[in-house]
Amino acid sequence: MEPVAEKSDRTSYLQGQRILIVEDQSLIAMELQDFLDKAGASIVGPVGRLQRALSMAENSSLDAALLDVDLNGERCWPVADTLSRRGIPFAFTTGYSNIVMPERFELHPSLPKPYREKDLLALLGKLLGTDREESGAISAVPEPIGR
Amino acid sequence: MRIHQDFLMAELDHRVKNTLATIQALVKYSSTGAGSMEDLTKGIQERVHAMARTHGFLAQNRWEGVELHKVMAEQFAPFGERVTIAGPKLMLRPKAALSISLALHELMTNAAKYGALSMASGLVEIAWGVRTRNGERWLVLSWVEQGGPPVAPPTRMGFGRLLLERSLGYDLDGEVSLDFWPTGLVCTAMIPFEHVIEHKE
Repeated sequence: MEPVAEKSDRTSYLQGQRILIVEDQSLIAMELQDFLDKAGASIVGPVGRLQRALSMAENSSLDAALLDVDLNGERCWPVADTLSRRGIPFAFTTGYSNIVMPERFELHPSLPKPYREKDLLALLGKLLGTDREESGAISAVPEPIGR
Repeated sequence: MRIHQDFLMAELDHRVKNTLATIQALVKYSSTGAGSMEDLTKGIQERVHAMARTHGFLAQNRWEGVELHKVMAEQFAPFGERVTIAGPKLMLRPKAALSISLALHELMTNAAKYGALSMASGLVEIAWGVRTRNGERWLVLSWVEQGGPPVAPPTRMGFGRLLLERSLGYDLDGEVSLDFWPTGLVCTAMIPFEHVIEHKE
């Protein structure tokens, strides 16, 4: 059993932070939304379609974003490019274990599905640059295969 | 050949992980509204079973799609002639087949607990067709209950209803309306036609 962390200490950095959720499966999006709600974040989305995600990434005021790689058969790369351009930190979430990322995103953090609440919150802490003590919870950058 | 196999393995991996993530959430939310541990366990079992059955149909068809009629027939077989199913021959793409079967499962569970299927006199009519609106085609699915106990709109949003609305609304980008007529629940869903594979016959 792992010790239960003090919730307020762990997640105070998420208070009021605007996080965009891009996820095409409603149940997974609901759960994600709950984790972030509980941590006090302010949620933008969730959104599951590429075009809508793009427009939110372009036009919303955001502190960070979580991007599901596969959106109903389309890749989320254009959304990632938009966020990069705007300087908004983001991480990928995906069910693919060995996904080949475009080179420009290879060093980006990603969280494999299904994820645990604490791993998700730790990842967001890193993205927001306010939780440097936390370590080991974020998955390593996936090893590119077949290159 | 190797490349094709790698592709299939990656897709399988993706599908399994997403299914596990979905079940993780399903387990979490099934507890809302469950009266007892037994109810909770049964609720999860039934939902996982509905998903597994559709997976089975999809596997039989090489994950291309499933007949809408087939999604329903087995699910409603226990109710015999009390549930009628009518509509043109249509094949659903995998994601739509999974979402629609889960939505129907929620309607069926609700009807068996509180609605038309909770009384011997109750009937359910399920029908579907194709409608064009603003130049776009939609699959229209209707669920009409009658002959059950008098119906009043529920006072709170249960997880079953949320699951029904989200799986059709969010996952399929469709529209869902629930009307609590005194004679019985009426549910109408409009599903974008991109989720349907048209028959080449």
